[in-house]
Amino acid sequence: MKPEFSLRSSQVIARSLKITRTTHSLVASITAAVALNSMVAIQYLGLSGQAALLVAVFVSLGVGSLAVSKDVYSRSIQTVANLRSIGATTGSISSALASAMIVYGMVGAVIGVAAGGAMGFALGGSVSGGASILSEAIGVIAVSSGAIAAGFYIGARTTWRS
Amino acid sequence: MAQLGVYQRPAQAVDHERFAIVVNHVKKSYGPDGESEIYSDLHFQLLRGTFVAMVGPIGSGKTTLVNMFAGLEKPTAGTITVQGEEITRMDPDSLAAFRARMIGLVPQVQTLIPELTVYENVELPLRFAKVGGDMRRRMVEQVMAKVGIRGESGRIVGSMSVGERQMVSFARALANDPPILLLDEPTEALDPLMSEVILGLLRGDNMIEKRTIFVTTHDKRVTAIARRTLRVQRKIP
Repeated sequence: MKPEFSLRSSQVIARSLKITRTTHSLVASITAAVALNSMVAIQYLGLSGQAALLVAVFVSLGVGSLAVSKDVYSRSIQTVANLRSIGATTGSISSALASAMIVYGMVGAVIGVAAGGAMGFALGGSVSGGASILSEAIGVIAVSSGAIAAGFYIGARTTWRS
Repeated sequence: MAQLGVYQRPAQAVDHERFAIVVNHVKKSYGPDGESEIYSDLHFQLLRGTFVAMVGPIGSGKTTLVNMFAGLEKPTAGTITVQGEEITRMDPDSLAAFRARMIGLVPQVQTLIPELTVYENVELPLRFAKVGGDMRRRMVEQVMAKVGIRGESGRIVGSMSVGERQMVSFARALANDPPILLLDEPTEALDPLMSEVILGLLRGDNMIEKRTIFVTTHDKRVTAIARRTLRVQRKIP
């Protein structure tokens, strides 16, 4: 995905579409919960189990984000039209929305990974397959935030084209 | 007619370099079978740098014409060329990008974003036109000073009066210094003082910046400062 906007621009567009702090908190909380559970589970799974888990995380967060972006569109249809009347393209709005969400998705994922990693150790889990805890953590963060961004981008592109 | 900026030349004789807007045998109708016809064969050209007002009864299609010039509505038949580019053939995203560069629009229904500040609203078209940070800041400050709303930059638009919002809308339309300015009933909801400010700005802008201005209105003060007035005679049944 080619970013068309700075973070500041993304935040302005997100506010225009009534994406409030509540929405950001919700995105961060969901990603944190998913990342926490993934980090705990990953310490008890083999390599194929880990791969399957990451795919499941990607698909579920992507589908969830897609549904949310369609909901945002239905609530903000007039605002989208207003933005288009002053030169906004579908790509500019969807990129802005996705990049605004990826920040909060990543914040949530980092919190979830830290909490999940600690919890896994506390429960007696171990890092499997010789991979370091750092690479496991980076994998979960990347998958979670990437899925959020992809879901919002694809949702916005497909719904907001006309 | 010619010296006042509106022509009715045959399509093949039109020099697009000279004209801001070329309306070529446009037909516009609504309804599934096109039963509500607004324009049957509209054909004229607006010279670059002219100031044209359009008057006519409510429901006569003035807003439809502004929307078609801005590419927000497509004609049922015929073509519209703006600044040498045929907008009737463009896809929605190309049209949006074209609008960001070429057209300043002050619609009848205000389209400002109420959640954003005055500064952010004025800045939006420049962000969409991908104008860089320093240049963008300079352009926004310049246009806000021009319109006289510099002191209001931090206010949330949702908390402003109709008249104040209209000034912001006007500033936003001018922000990217477009060659064409389209205004739909710009003084309709304003008190006399605000209207005078807008009229002064329009007059000065057309004279100094040589911007093409097309405005729909019922206000005789607007037609008085326009170089040409088009009248739509009939009301749509």
